[in-house]
Amino acid sequence: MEAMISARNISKVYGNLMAVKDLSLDIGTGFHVIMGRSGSGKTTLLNMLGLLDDASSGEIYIREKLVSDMKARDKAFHRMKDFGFVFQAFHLHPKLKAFENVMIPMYINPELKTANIRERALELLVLMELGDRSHHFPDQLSGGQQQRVAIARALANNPTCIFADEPTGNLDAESEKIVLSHLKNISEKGRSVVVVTHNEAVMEYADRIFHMTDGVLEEKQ
Amino acid sequence: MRVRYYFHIVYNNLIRRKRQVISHSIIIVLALITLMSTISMASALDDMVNNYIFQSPKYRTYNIVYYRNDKLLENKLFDILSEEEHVLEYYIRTWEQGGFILNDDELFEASDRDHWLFFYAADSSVSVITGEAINKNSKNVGIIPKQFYTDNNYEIGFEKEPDDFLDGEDFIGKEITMRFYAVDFSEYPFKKINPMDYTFKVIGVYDIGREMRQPYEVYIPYDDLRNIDEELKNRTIGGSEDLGSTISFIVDDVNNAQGVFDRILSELMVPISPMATLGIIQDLGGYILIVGSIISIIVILIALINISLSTLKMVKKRTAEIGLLKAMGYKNNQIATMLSLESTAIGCISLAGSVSFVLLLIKVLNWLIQSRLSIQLRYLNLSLKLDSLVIAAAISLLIPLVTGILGMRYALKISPTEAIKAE
Repeated sequence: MEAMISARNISKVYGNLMAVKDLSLDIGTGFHVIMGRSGSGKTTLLNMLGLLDDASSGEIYIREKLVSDMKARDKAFHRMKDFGFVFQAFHLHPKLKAFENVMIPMYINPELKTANIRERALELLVLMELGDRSHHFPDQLSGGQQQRVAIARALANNPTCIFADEPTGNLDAESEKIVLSHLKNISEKGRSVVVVTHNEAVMEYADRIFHMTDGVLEEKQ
Repeated sequence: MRVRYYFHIVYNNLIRRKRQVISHSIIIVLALITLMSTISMASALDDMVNNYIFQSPKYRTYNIVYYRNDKLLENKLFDILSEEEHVLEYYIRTWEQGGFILNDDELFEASDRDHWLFFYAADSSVSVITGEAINKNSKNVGIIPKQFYTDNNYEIGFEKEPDDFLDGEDFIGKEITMRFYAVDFSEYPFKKINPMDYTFKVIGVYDIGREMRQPYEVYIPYDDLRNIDEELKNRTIGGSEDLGSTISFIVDDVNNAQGVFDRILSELMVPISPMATLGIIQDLGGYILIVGSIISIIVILIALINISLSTLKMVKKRTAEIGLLKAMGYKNNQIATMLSLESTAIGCISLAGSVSFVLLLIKVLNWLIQSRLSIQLRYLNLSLKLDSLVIAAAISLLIPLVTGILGMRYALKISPTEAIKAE
């Protein structure tokens, strides 16, 4: 399996606290789950892998290209081009319709033509089985529907990797299943999906499971 | 990122924080209204004073008083005044006279009061709006006000004139007979004695608003007025002899008067005084500008502080949203552009609101001035000056941008991880 993202000996130190300890990891296509208790360092790891935060030491590669020592502008470019993010709180713009929310990441993609942006947004919502809700505002959607809009938004620029931090944290059981199914489908189509969670129900969908304890990562079989 | 996308996001962000946009705009609008109104009023007053009041003959006329038997000085004054290019006319002043109309039964509808007129010597500067002007050869003719009112107890002030003003044009061709009285000063109380009559034919009318006169003030030929003055002096008993004489001269523009003063003062050392002064009204425009500007500055300072803190608070509330945009790949300059455009939009809304309000206010005030204030204020015309519009536009854009600096600095320091933290 070709590694989409590779981390080599990365650490993160906050004052006297070592949140992530000398960690190495390869992320390829498929559904990856990183589990651990609150404070184990899993979100910190996700932040570093997603170039949202800088590692205190170590290197991060995207398709064998070193990215961890790039300037902030270049990291932002890689986040736009290669990554999509899904968070526990959906963070949808309340005054934009569903398809308009999906369009937001596409505004800064120079490779997309203006004429195609709206069409692509609607297609992604159809993929998320929200074709009939594309013109609804977030407050007109259920929690599960809002999270699916967020997933469609994460897919907007055709990223190679989706990072999801507790994506089902605010959802009921049924919505949870729907959202995880969609993430699973995405991972089966040549993308990486990395889910950080402490919800054991997610393990059912995983191709690879990691356990994080006090900053140390261990892969479970 | 394409411009239209910025506008799309900015528009929706402004809708989202409608209440804050309205409150910020109101504060800025108040500052701008104060500023624009101040400039409008001050410049309207200055315009009226400099372009109308000071251009009326009354305010372009100056008096030089000297010892009446000093013919040498008198001739020197005439020489200087004849050489000065800005002096339109000069003459030995003959004193104004007031008297009662004798044939008022023929001229007016029945009334129980006396009708009174006050006479000035006509000079070339009097503008006749209908009829004929008085010339050097004229005798027993007069130019009366278009707005004719023969009550010497009435004086034009700020309020609108009474409805029973007459139209002077209706008297053109008619003859008016006046009665003047000499005075017996030999014992107190002084008595009116030895009346003399004077008849003149109305040949034209003038505008009292333009000439800055009262509605009972009439122009007659210089020689007629001098004859009346001398005859009344001859009939007067007692009183002191007038040792002084006055030469009056009219300049083409008040701004050109100083040159004439300087020459006369330096060559002859005689005092010169204006025939009429405005007093406090002359400087009123300046006072309004100073006071209004101070108030505007205070309101602007309050706006700056209030909006700065409010904007910073708003940006802090949007930490997760801005963090998410950065997580998606938005760069700091793109975030800064969005925030700046939001501020600029508030500035534009404020400018549009304040200009609309001021234009309406000006319309209402101008209507009030024309309908409720006296004829002598009809040249007080408020308008929105270009310079005040430019200043207002600059302030309306600067206030939001300056007040947005604190919020902008905070926003640029937000980490993309904030989107995850704010759960």
